[in-house]
Amino acid sequence: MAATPQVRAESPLDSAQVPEIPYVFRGRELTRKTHRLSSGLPSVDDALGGGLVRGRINEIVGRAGVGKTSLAAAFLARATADGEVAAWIDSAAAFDPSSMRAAGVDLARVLWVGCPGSHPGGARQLEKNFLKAAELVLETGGFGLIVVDFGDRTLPLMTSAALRMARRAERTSTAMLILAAHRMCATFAALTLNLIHSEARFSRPSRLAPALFDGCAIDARVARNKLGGAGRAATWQAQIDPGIVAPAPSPASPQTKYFDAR
Amino acid sequence: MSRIACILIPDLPIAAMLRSYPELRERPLALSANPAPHAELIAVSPEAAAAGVRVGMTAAQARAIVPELPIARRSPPAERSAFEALLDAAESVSPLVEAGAPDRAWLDLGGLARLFNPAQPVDPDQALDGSASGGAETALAAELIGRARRVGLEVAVGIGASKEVAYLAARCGGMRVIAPGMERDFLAWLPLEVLDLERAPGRDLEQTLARWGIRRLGDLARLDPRAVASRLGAAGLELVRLARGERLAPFVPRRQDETFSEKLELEYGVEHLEPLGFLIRPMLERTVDRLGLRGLVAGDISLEFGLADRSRDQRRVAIAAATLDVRALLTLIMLNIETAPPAAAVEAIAISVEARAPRPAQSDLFTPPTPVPGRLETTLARLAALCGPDRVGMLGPQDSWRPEAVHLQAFAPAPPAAVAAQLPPPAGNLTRLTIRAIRPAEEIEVLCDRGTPEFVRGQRLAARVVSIAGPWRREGEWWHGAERALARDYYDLALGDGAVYRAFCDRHSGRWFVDGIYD
Repeated sequence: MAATPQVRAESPLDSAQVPEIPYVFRGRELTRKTHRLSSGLPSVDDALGGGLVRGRINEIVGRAGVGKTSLAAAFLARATADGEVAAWIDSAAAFDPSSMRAAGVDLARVLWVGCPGSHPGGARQLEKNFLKAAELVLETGGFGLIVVDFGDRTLPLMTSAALRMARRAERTSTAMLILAAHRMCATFAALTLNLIHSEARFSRPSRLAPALFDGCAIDARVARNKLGGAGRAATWQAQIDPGIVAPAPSPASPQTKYFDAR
Repeated sequence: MSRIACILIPDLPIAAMLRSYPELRERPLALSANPAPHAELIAVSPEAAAAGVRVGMTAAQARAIVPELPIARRSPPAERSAFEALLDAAESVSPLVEAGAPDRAWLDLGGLARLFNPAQPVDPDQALDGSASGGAETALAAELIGRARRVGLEVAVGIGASKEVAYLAARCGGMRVIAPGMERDFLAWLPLEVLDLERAPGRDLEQTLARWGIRRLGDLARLDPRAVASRLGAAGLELVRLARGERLAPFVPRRQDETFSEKLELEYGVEHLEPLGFLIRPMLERTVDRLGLRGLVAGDISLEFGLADRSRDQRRVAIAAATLDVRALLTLIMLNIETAPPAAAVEAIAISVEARAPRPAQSDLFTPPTPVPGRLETTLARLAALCGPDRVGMLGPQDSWRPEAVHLQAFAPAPPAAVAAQLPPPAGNLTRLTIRAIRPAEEIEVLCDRGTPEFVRGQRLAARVVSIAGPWRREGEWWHGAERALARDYYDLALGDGAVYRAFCDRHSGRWFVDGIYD
């Protein structure tokens, strides 16, 4: 018989005895900003102190191909599996639904907003519309995670725009995740994870078999964390098929497992 | 005993014009059939009548009395829109509404007492037979006037035991409730003019009754019906029964319409987009008010422009997410017009909005919060206006061998399940590698050595190939013919810039493209 939580009648406020019910927060917890959204990757969650901070701006920065999208997909998969609704604001039409679905994302719970590649008003108006779209989604409320993909933009946001987004995220308790090559929101981001290095791994099942691209090993460091824990490092692997366990790299003889396919 | 309310627009042509142009309220106004100076006035506002202007005068005569008098051309489309708005106001109160002449509608008030006077206890017997208490009916009449005002109409409301009594009560102006059993007392003092006998087919009926010395309905009610029938025929008999408060016409409720229309005819042609937007906006506002009254939201919009070259311009604006947000709807309409402007100046505008039911939602304590459906729909409509309707929604893969094939669906997330879906347990620090799509695929130049890519050069790429996996051949869509069939060799190329790209060689043309980056 399953154990049921018991509440003692003589001490109803004893927090240790109050059953934990997800999404029902007690008193002061309504204003607490430390609720986290987990990625399901132990090393990333440990480095971030539990995951993305809800109600704040979180940044994942790094060059193209370093693994930002895969990590964002992990957060997105976790959020949608929990029944939350998420949004992906896409500046470069880079959202690939096939690989997102393969990563476990429930696409029916993800609102995709693709900003057009050109605008009669020029690049400035385009950027304005992109930020406006992100703010509109934030204002709606009820989204567990909003991913804002800035693509290869290098200029940081204007202070006023970043401040507006931070305030709206705080009001709606949405975890806002920014993907960019560099830091975008400066001091208004609560957390910045810098993806430093990604090593592509190829393998060949046998000497005469064609080469296979297995995935990447990714190193990251927490560049900023207002809630404590800056400087922590994380390492994980993003694989084409996580069901197939790739052989561990061996520094002594890398050519035997990972090699130049040519 | 049934109770019927009549909601009446006292002077429909004037009311419709004031609804279309609210800035003319409280100013003298007259309407004519055509703009010529000798055209006779067919309707005048109370302010103009107070200044001495009368129906039947020519425009020149009226301007001699009031020099600044605006004289507009009567607009039947605006009158139809006003009547539809009246029906919406009526249907927002009672589900049983009969559309009468273009200026009136009747409502069955059976069982509505509790809704409009909840403080007053309702006698179960009264509730069963559908009769409403007087206080509740007064509150209901006030509510009807308020709701009609929300859609831009000033109306009069009468409540009685039959359609005829209710109509005659409304003809008295304001709101008037005739208590059950008091119909004959009310009718007795009404003058014969309220019956509009001069508009009836038998105009001599009025003269005959005048010759008989009958001035009020009470005089008529005292006559012997058989004697009147033998002298005046069926029309006379109906008049006597009406004067006695006996029910004549049955109540026939209409089927509710799910399309909301607003029409406007202009006396001049509009050639530019901006003034067109100024004209469309109040029409949309009025439509949205009507939808709001019925608890509905706006879906797809049909636009029809009457053009100066006597042609019609019809178009349809798809609304991705039903909403009541006028700004978003207007932006979508203007985007549509900007894309394909009308061929000539616009002289008439007709907007038809398909009504949709708002999506209800009940939050659950044990599931994560989700966006409120109404707010989400408004946001989706605004996003569609901002980014384009083809860029907002649920993006999913198509059943195709082409990796770039995607399709967009309306975003309508299901309520979260009480038990969350279970992801497979994480296998350590492993996640799935995803792709950042490059749309459209970017053509690249690939330098090969004995068929193996050595160097890649493109618009944003210029790097040495470090590692290769592939090729993986994809073929399909043979039914499109040999030229358009899918035939590609895919490669995973690790370049010197540290990233791994998905590239393919089109086997028909031999050209290379990169369509994604593993990220």
